[in-house]
Amino acid sequence: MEDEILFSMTGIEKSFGPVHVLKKAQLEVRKGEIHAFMGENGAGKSTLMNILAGLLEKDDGHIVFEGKEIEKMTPELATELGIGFVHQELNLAEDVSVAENIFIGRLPYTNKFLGIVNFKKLYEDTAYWLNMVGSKVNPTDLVGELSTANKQLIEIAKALSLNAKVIIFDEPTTSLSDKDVEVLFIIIRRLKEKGFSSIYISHRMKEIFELGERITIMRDGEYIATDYVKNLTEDQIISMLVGREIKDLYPKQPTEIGAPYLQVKNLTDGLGKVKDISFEARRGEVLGFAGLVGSGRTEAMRLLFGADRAKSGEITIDNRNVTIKSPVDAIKNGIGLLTEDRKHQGLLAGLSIKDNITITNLDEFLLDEKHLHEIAAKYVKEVNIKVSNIENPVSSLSGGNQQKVVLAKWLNTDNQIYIFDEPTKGIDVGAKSEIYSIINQLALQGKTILIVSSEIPELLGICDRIHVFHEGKINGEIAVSDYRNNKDEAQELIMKYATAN
Amino acid sequence: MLKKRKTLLTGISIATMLLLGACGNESSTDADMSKTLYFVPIVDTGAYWNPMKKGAEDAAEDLGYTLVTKTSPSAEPSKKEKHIGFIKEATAKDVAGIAVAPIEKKSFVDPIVAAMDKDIPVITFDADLENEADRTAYVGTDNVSAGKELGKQAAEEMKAKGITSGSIAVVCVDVAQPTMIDREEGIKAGFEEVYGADASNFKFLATIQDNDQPSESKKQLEGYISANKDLVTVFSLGSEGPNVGVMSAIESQGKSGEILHYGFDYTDTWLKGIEDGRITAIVDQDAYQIGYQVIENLVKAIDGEEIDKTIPIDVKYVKAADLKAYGEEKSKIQTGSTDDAETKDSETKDSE
Amino acid sequence: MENEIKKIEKKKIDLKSLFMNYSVYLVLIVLVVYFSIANSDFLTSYNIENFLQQIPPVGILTVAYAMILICGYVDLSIGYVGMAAGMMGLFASNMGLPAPVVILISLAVGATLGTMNALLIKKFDLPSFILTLGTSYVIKGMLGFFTDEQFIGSEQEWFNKLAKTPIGTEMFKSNALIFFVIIAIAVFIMKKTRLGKYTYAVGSNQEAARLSGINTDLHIVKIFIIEGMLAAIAGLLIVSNLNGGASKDANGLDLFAMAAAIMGGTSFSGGIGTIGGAVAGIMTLQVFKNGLTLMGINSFLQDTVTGLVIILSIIIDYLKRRASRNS
Repeated sequence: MEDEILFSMTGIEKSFGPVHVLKKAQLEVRKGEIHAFMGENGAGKSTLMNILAGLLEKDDGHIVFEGKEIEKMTPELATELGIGFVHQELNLAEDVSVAENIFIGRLPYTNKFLGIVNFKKLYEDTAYWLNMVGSKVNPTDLVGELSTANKQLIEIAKALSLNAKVIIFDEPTTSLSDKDVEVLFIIIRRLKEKGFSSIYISHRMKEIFELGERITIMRDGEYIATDYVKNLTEDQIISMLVGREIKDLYPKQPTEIGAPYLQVKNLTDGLGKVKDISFEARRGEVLGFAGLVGSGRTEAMRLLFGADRAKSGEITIDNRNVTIKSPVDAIKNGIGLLTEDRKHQGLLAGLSIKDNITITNLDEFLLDEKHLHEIAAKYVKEVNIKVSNIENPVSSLSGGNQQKVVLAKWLNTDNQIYIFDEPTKGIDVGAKSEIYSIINQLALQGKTILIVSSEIPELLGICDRIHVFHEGKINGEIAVSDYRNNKDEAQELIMKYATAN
Repeated sequence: MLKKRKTLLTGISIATMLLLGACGNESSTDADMSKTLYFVPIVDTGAYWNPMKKGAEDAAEDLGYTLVTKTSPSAEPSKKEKHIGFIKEATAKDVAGIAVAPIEKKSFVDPIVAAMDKDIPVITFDADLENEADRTAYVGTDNVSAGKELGKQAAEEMKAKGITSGSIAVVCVDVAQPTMIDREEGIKAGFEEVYGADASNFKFLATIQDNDQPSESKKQLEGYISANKDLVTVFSLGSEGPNVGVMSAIESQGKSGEILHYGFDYTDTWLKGIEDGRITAIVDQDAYQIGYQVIENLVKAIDGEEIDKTIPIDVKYVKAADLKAYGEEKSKIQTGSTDDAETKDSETKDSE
Repeated sequence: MENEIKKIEKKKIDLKSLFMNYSVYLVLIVLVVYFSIANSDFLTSYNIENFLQQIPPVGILTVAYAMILICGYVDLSIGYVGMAAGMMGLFASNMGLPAPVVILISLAVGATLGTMNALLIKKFDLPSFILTLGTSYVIKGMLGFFTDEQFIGSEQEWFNKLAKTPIGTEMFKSNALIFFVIIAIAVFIMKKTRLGKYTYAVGSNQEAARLSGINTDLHIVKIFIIEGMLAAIAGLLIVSNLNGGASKDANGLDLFAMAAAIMGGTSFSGGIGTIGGAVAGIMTLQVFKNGLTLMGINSFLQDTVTGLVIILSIIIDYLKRRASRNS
């Protein structure tokens, strides 16, 4: 049973106009297996999955599902065959109940002609599936009011209720807390026991190693390899993903840490999320902020940037007291913020790549398009975005490249203080190290960097000091150099500060 | 590159239009135009304007001219500008004559005078310009005297009924329209003439306008009836909207037969209100005659004959009881004149 | 050989994207050609004169509407703002004030009403659709109250000449000139200045724009001020053209302006569209109505067909955007 093949895709070709996105791509998934699927942003895994789900048409190649060749895949056919998709961006109707979301389009009717819904059956069926995935929500709850983790469970329940034989999980843990991730893993394992297959797409090595049985890797639209996870090391996987060896994930060069530059005293938001924060940062220093999801880090940074109004607090820059009431003030004082949600808060979707990058630093009145083009091109190169024409709309880029555009936008300022909120969230391994070196470069130039991150290894890799948030206050601080040889101890200490009182 | 292409395209579009127009080719030969008349009413639908157009068409046919009717719907945006455009078009084409109902006195002066300067006779109808000299003639109901007739008759009847005081409502389509202004003026003048000093015991409420939406006038009048227990009489200045709206309001407020209702212009709509007394009496303009006379006089002017500067068409005062018979006569007359190609003289139309 | 294939491929794509991007212009050219052939009156000097006489007010409103839409807002009160400003100018002129003062007063009224709209929208955080629907009634009521909705005549010759002075030829008058100058200025602002770029940014994603350091509140007020002043010019032209004005003279024009702007590629969601496209849109609509009138088509049928043209253009726009999203 374990070795029986559920489906296989071979020789898949796909082009969008002149862009050849998939070249002889392949993937084979067995029944009841948890199959990890990795590839950098732009490697083609989303495209391949979309073809599997019938959302895109392949140009060439074969799809064989349970021994039968599928000539033309459509979304309806995919659902019928049992291909379920839990997207990274959840596909639920917020204003409608859990039950109606799961059974959307196939509500049970007592009288179909008059449209009278059999709510009793609907809720019963819903409860069954919710139970299957171990969710404790009520069938009648409104989806909009649920946490991201619960919404995800509902998507899984929905896929199962459609008799999915294989569920594709696309970056499922991006917005989940550690506890939720554990719950997710339990469910995926339970699915395996019941004979369902899972395709697990993620950038997070830790998860791949914890959960994955076999792994398939793609790069630049091509199939690279499939193997059992236990046969591979992290470095091997990384070099297959990136095509080259990454010597050091965290290229931290020692920087000169100068005089105190930024001082924050008693910053409070008056809403209970940020309660009396004080810290100090120096020139050339990379200061990290760790803490659980919801501990107030993002909120504190937004106050510092003027995105939200602080109730009280003092901010001093270069020994001058400054008032920051809006992002305009912040930028005037040399502070930039790379927001956590880059897509919705950082990108101007309808505008070109060039416009997005130059928007932070436009000439006073009359625009010199040629000059702006040069500047944008310069930063595109610096953050290594692969694009043919920067006049194209930014929406034409892949997710990872879009993130880089937002980064480029902030590099295109004369700021002295850079705040990065989850800078590598949703970014693949190869690009991550590029970003780390950019951060390092900035520090070398004497800038002050503040980084909020939920990946402690990342913080330990690039920061000089780390403050730990706990329920709106700074609970502890560690100097990274003290724990150079004792990363585990540092991690434990940080967790302790983040959770205890 | 793309930007240049776009500006080029826009430029070409505009330039093309201007260039080809500059080689201004007049579309038709002179011969056609000398037998063409332009007829520009405010609208051409409804119980008032439609017979008028028919009258004009019949006259043109009888006299051997081509009638070109140009108009626009009631609520047309930029209506005034459009109709001014029609006059200019006629002028540029050098037609034989123009008949136009000015939507507004002041803005229509220039294009009409421009036509006159080109020796194209222009006759106004339904509403007139301020200065007589600006047009060849005016054919139409003297709205002031029509209103006066209605006001007088209404006052006489009210006096006979022993009504000495109360509120009076006035309802119309558009308070700014010159015809409405004149009618209201006339009604009040006629009213005061009959009542004399006692007229001050009556209060004319603020005029209701409904943009030809009966639901609007109905709503507003119902409000008036509720708020003014002493409302005795309503004057509808036309057209269909107020007619229907007023009768509807009277009915819904249960005042059928109690509140007196005097209206303007015959329409079959009145027939519904005769039995329960929702319409008391009307003055009727002879819309068909106006249309016919406009063209008849226009042709006379073209032929160089002398015509009066103002050619009034009489109104008839018709009481409710006589409305049905009157209406039948009217429709007979109209169908009669189309059958009878010989009848050109307006006098013969009274009897049949 | 490969290069040649690539060139041909590129050309094919360009033609397709050319059609997609400039469909409005193509429709316009097709209509002009069609009417020229179908009706001998279409290209005559008097018809063109009429056309150029009637398009400037609604055309200027279209330009103003396009800017507001690109910024992510609508303004349903634009017609009445224009008439209010125009009639204030009329009163000032009748009082004997000199021309520059009259124009300044009119512009000031437009700017003030625009500011009022912007502040209310920002302060109450209400969708601009509802808010400006409300302000449109307020302005309409006030204007009607003060003028009794009567037509107020102009008593100054120079005022009447504002919109009707021929420039070079009878066909092309001062109001058309003003219209074209405004188009040029608007295109310049939107394409070549920071103000224009910020407008696209704010319309595309107001929050992201704010977090990028744009003073979005101030910017929105600026755009509404510009829009109010443009509406004022449109109003002045209407009143000057008719030798006077009544409060309802702009009725219906604002909806045409909005439809035209959307036909030309702007969208309710903001951040996209061009002034050129919007102008092509209003020209298409006006050419269409003009052509139909000349051909003697019943005016109610004209309304039906006009509506169909609007719907068709929006469908094309929708398909266009869907195609670009899928690629």
